Amino acid sequence: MTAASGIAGFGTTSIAALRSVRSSAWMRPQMVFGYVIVAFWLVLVVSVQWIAPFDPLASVGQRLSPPSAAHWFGTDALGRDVLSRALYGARYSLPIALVSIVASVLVGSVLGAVAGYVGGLVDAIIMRIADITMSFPAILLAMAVAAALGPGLDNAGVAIIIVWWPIYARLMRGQVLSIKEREHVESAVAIGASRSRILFRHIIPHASTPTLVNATMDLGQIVLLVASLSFLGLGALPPTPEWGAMITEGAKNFYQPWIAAAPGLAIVSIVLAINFIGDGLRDALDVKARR
Amino acid sequence: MTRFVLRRLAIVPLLLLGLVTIAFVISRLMPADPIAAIVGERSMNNPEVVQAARERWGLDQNVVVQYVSYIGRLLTGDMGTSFQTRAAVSSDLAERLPATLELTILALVIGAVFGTVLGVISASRKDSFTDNAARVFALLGSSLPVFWTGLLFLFVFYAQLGIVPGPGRLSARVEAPPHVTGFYTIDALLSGNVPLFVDAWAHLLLPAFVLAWGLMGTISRLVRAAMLDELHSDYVRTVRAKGIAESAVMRRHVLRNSLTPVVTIVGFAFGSLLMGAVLVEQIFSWNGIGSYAVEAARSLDYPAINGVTLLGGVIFLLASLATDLVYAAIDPRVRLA
Repeated sequence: MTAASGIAGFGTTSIAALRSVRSSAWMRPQMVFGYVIVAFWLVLVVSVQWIAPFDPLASVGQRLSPPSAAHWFGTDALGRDVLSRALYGARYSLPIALVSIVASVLVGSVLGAVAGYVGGLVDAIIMRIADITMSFPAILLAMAVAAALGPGLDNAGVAIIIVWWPIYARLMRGQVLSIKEREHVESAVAIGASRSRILFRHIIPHASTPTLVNATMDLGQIVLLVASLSFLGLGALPPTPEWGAMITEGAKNFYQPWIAAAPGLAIVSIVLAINFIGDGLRDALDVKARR
Repeated sequence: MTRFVLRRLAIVPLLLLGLVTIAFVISRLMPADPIAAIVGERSMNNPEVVQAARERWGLDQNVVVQYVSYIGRLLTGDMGTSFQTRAAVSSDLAERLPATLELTILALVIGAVFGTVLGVISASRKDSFTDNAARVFALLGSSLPVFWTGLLFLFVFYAQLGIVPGPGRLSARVEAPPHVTGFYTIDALLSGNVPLFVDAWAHLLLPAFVLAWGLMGTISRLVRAAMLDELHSDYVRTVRAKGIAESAVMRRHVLRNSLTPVVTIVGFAFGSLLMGAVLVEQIFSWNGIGSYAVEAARSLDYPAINGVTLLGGVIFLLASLATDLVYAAIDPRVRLA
């Protein structure tokens, strides 16, 4: 709880600050490295059917054969090409992670903004629910929700949104509390702008930078969480070529390490790339670290 | 100070009630019929068996009654009976908690100690090769899925090199020490069984390291950033001007002031280690509450899911409470605010 309260601590960055950052700050070597890898995976999401050498669901070789010229990462227990499956994995893990983070940001920001702007009982109710939700270790709560809804990638996404929105609610509330005291908001009140117009046109846009930075940094954690839930059997189900589920298959074939190698490397590369970008963004915009 | 502590303690019961309510709501959202999990698919066609089971598990009453009686039972320490193990959830958890705590506490120590050391090395050699290597190591820690690292390390260090034992808390055919604390390392020592003590440690080290890597990264980044901040402060300039040796400046002044942020994340760290433990326990066949949670979630054993989620929440709550109190004790600005 204490760790998260640092979020509200940073200053009054805004969209203007985003634009004024020197372009070189966006082009540090580690960030460029991150962009390239993220771009690679995003291209794969739309074009994997032309790039992957084999059908991810078809048995295309001998069972459990080690890496070879034909199968760079070997084949799994059903004779499927591990590389093709890992490449197709991008189609499952990345869209679910993106949708979950966007939905968490939207739900959390709106609730947090309303809580901060309206105050009083509404504030108390929303923020207490957020506090309590955050009091659970995220994966246990996500597991309980995913189990309640039944396994499946979509339900894993819902579970993640339920677990993650409070972070953005707190962040946005803190921002709104400080921004609503500013002069331009006072002026808007003076000329008779409606409350919702003030909130959505004059407050929220000024509060979006820290949210953006945090969402970028959290995206890596969300990719890991999706994979973790699938690994535990509460996300994507076989034969879906999802990375976490593939690592479960790898664990079952412990002495054929290539089965888990490809999905593992896929996760590490995308999460590391996202963390590089998030780190760079945070340094460039001087947003305080949350973790 | 007393007022701060009292105020902080006063909201604990409210948070606990909130935890209980959310845990209860989730368990009632389950669309799957838990009766099927209790009596088995085949007996579902036998209405008498189904009815008897419903009554026995209290599933025939309305939700409000179930909620009230759930809280009432919780107050007496009764978390219900697991559908799977047919034992009281509270005794299941009590039996499995020490395994998880042993793993988590060691990981916390490894993460805090090595994280601090890495951070200090990084900060005192800013932008050197060592600094960059330490930073990449730290970033890897928060980018690697622990279940994959665990699998990889087991394959390399156990299957290939044979320098660590395989999964599990003890080697095969080795009997657990008599139960005192439930921590095998401590219990083995208490019973004076040295080979058992060594065996328990050998099994503990690899999973604890895998679990600790992420935390090591977080702490080393924090310490590095805090030390670099402190290095530019006025008091450090003064100390240097007095002619104090640079190593003493670092150790006695900079490091001491840089450790405050480390304390503030201990509660958060404990929670995140607990989450990691759920995954690490799967890979290392560790018989703790993490693997209990997974078994429960897979088999829709909802008293068990409920109990374990609640336990996780309570541990998290206590950890953050402890953090706040420690923080207040060392930083007067907090308790006087």
